[in-house]
Amino acid sequence: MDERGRAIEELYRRRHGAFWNVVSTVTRDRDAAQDVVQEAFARAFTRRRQLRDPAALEPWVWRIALRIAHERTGARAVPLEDALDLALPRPERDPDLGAALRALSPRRRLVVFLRYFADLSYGEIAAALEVAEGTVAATLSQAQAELLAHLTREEAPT
Amino acid sequence: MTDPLAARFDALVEPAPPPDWLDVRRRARRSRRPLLLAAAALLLLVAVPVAIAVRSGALPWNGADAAPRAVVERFAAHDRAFAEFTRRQTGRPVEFGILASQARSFPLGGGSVAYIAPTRSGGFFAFLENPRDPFGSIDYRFPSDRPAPAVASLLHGRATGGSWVNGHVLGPPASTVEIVLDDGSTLKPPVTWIGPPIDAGLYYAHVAQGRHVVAVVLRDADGKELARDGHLGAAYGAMQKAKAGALPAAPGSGAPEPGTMVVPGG
Repeated sequence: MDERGRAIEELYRRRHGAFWNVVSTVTRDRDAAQDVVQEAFARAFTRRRQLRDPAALEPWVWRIALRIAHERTGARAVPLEDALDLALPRPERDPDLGAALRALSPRRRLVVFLRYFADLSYGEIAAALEVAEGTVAATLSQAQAELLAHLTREEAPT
Repeated sequence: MTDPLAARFDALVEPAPPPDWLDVRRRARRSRRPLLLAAAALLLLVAVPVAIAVRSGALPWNGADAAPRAVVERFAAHDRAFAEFTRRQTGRPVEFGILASQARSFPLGGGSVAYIAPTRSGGFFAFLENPRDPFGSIDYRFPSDRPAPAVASLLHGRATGGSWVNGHVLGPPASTVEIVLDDGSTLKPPVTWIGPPIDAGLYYAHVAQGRHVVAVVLRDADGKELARDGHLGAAYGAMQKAKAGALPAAPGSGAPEPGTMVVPGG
């Protein structure tokens, strides 16, 4: 196996759980999420020579995984970041947070999940979504403010 | 400063299934296979002008379009409905384990489409739609059915009258299906082969009102009979007893009644 192949395998072994958790928010099905993650890494492995910047490997695989998840929803005509309908796979475990997330725009929700479930840096999220890092910072800041406001309202004693 | 949201999300992180790098490599090999096969086929066509007939038309699973969301929801609804039905009937819910979100679309010709979803147990569930009857028929396979050469289901043609016979073939390559009617005539529906992981051929045929199917016969490429399903006579009897209004609902369209699906020999 070549160097890029080994890097993809290392990324897979180290970050499989993070990919699975975020993809689960799209598929809401554990098995389907596993299938998407497996397919994403298989595609990345097959196309590894197309990656121009090896340092950007992880965001590139995220892009592939989100694209596959997006394809499986059948809503291909809408831009990825605006179409992915992410939600907590088991909202009953934190109904308030689930409701607060539902109130966010799809784009904000996606950034939130990539930040908190995948633990990606602003730069990695920016690379995965092909937007400026400043855009990620602003989007995340607005999303956090919105979430906290919603949660504060929901959890305030009556 | 700590992020008040971080702990909340941390508590929701689920343990992921174990990673399986070998599966990733297998999938990567499979995705390259169509290109390699195409190149090999081209070479053969140029250098050795022989007929390539054996399952040359198998549709690759990986290249198929995802099924529309409405169909995915129907698969999921059908699984739930069947579990509820079996729970009521037997006290123990039985699930097909349909992986609805993985459903894909395959054109069958004549405007018909097969939507296929694999099941957790290694089988598949197929749902045929055709322009003459909006929701055609249902077909499924459990892993234990693998040795069976052909399984047919039988449904009323709700819009067309008559009946629809459909099923799948797990027989050897280039096997054909022959549907024998009560007047001695036969129908020879085309078989659409789907590649791994489904590895089956789907067929369907419309039987005109007043005619009955007496057998479904599976033949090899030389016409030799491999298997014969003769349970359809009884299945027709059962179907005729059902009122037209109690025909099986399309999965997810109201309250599906999987028990009205007749699966000869199933």
